[in-house]
This record gives sequence, C-alpha cells and structure tokens, in this order.
Amino acid sequence: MIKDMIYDRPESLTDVKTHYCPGCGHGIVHTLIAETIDSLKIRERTIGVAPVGCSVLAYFYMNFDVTEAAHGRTPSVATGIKRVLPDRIVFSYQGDGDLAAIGMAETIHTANRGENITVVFINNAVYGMTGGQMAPTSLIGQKTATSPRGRNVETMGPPLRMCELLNSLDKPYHIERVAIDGPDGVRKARKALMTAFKAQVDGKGYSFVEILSPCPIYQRLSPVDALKFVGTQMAAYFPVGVFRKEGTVVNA
Amino acid sequence: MNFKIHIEKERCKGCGYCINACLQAVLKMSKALNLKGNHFPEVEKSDACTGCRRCASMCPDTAIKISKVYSESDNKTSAEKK
Ligand SMILES: Cc1ncc(C[n+]2csc(CCOP(=O)(O)OP(=O)(O)O)c2C)c(N)n1
Ligand code: SF4
Ligand code: SF4
Repeated sequence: MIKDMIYDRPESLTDVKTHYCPGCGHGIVHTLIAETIDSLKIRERTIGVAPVGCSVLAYFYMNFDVTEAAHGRTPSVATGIKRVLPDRIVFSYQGDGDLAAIGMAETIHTANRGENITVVFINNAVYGMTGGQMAPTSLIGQKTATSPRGRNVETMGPPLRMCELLNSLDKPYHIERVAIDGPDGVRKARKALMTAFKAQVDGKGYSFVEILSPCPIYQRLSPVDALKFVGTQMAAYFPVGVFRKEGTVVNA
Repeated sequence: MNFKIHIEKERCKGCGYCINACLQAVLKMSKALNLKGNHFPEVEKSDACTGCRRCASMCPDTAIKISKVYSESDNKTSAEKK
C-alpha cells in the first residue's frame, strides 16, 4: 500500500489551534493566504500586519513574520514596512470594523497612493471581537448589539461597499470581491489572493481582496446557515467579482 | 485507487462545513465528543470519496488531510506514475 498526500496543511501555517469560534471565516482565509504564499514561494520574505479584531492573534497561526498595528492603522504600518524593505511581500489583514470604520482614512489614502501592498479585507458584517456591534458593512435591517431593531438606513446610513468606493480612485491595480460561502467560493477566493499577491511580487501596485465571510456567532446563525447568509444576503448587497483588473476599471 | 480522509478530531470544533460540502456523503457527524466537547466528522463511506478536497478546503481549523491509497490491484504504483 502506498499513500500520497493530496491535501495537507500549508507550510505557511503553524500547527497552533486557533481561538476562533466554530465555523469562523478567519480560519478558512488564513489557510488560503498560507497556500498562496507557499505556491509563490515567498514565505521567507513575507511580512503580514495583523489588525485589532478577532484576528488580532493571527501571528500565532501564520508561519512567517507578522506584526501588529493599532486599530485601523494596518495599511499605514504596511506602507512603512514596504517602503523600508521593498523586497518584502507585505500584506495587511483587516476586519470590517478595522478597515471601514476606524481605519477608513488609512484605507483610502493607502489605496490612493497605490502602495505596492496587498490588503485582505474580511467582511463579516459585524464587529466580532467586541461582541457583535453594528459594522459599517452590516446589512440593512441586520440585528446587532447596537442595532437591536435592525440597521435603520434613516439613522445609521446604508452599508458601505468598499470595493466600489476604492474603485473610484486612480491608482489601485487590482480590486476584487469574493464570498467564502462554500467550496466554489473558496476556490475563487484562493485565485483572487493569488492574483493580488502576484501583482505585488511583480511590483504592479496596490491590490485589495474583499472576502465575504461567516461569523456564525454574531450573524446569529448556525455555521452552515451563516455560509448561506454570506452567499445569498451578503452577496446580494455586495456583488462578487473583479472591479479593477491590471489597473483598469472593470465594473464602472 | 482510493482516497483516505485523515481527521484530526482534537482540532475539530464541530462546525459541520466538511459534511455540508461533500457531494458524496462520505462524512457524518460523530455521536462521540472530543476533549473540547465537540462532535467531529467521521468517515462513513470511504469508498465513495472522489478526492475532490471540497471538505478540506472548507475546514477553518485544518483538521482534514487527504491522501491517495494505491492497492495491490492498481496496475501502476505512485512511483511509476511520477
Ligand atoms: C482605538 C480602539 N478603538 C476601539 C477598540 C475596540 N475594538 C476592538 S476590535 C473592534 C472591532 C472589530 O471588528 P472587525 O474589525 O470587524 O473584526 P472582527 O472582530 O469582526 O474580525 C473594536 C471596535 C480598540 N481595540 N481600539
Ligand atoms: S466572533 Fe465571529 S469573527 Fe470573531 S472568532 Fe467568533 S466567528 Fe470569528
Ligand atoms: S474529498 Fe470530496 S468526496 Fe472525499 S470526503 Fe472530501 S468532499 Fe467528500
């Protein structure tokens, strides 16, 4: 009997068990990033910047250098690292509270400068770490700790579509949205991350990948129903697809 | 040729994504609990596995590994295939 592994844990992940809740999208995306870094053979020159949010401990799980930034400042710290060490592959990893609320200014200015970094944006439509408060990306009518009767557009504004917003800027090179609502979505997410990291390796400039992601606990659903929420309700408001390809706007 | 699903049950948090992802109903949830108190997937229909990796690709906790298994009756060994 001869055995060959056809699926194994990527080298770019440590074997530390994560603190994430059952079914959390962060775990899936960590694996996808690690697989991308393994296939590009850049593990020894990659530096990640972890956010404040549930993924604050990402450096325990990723088997390469990862630093930490103040809430929302991840792209600025990534900019600094990339400018000082231009041969490193630098990415920021951010939740929706980190990227689209407290870090909105840093997000926009980094994209506007077209920094040669990669931003991985986990949109789970809530603040996970702090107890399920409303995020800028919470859906209309979505019940959260701070919108107990559902998000009301009149008083709270509509959810922010970050890909569309960044697509109005001149400099980004690649902007794409995917949804990890099942194996097909995961495959597309892996491909999107590959495009984004490859762009940076080739020195093309700023790449942004938004990943619609399950947070079963604060989406208040079972894990499998949270996947359905991501693939139907979230994807209905946040259409998946490529918005910017090789520096050119795709969906105007 | 067959495929073997290796489940590291102590990594499992019982989300059920793998069972939901499998198109061949290879996996089912255990009655037993692991040390953390979670149910975990067990291989029920090993022969039906096509090696598609859908289950493993959905696992947030990298608890699933998959290998090929060549039996004596396979006319080529993996070494010859490479
Ligand atoms: C300056 C500052 N303000 C507020 C907080 C509290 N805080 C911690 S995490 C977080 C939001 C996390 O949500 P998100 O970025 O969506 O990540 P998730 O936990 O959902 O992955 C907030 C507001 C903080 N740590 N620092
Ligand atoms: S609260 Fe949500 S985002 Fe945070 S670890 Fe749990 S499932 Fe993941
Ligand atoms: S590899 Fe495919 S067929 Fe085999 S158990 Fe996993 S999902 Fe099912």
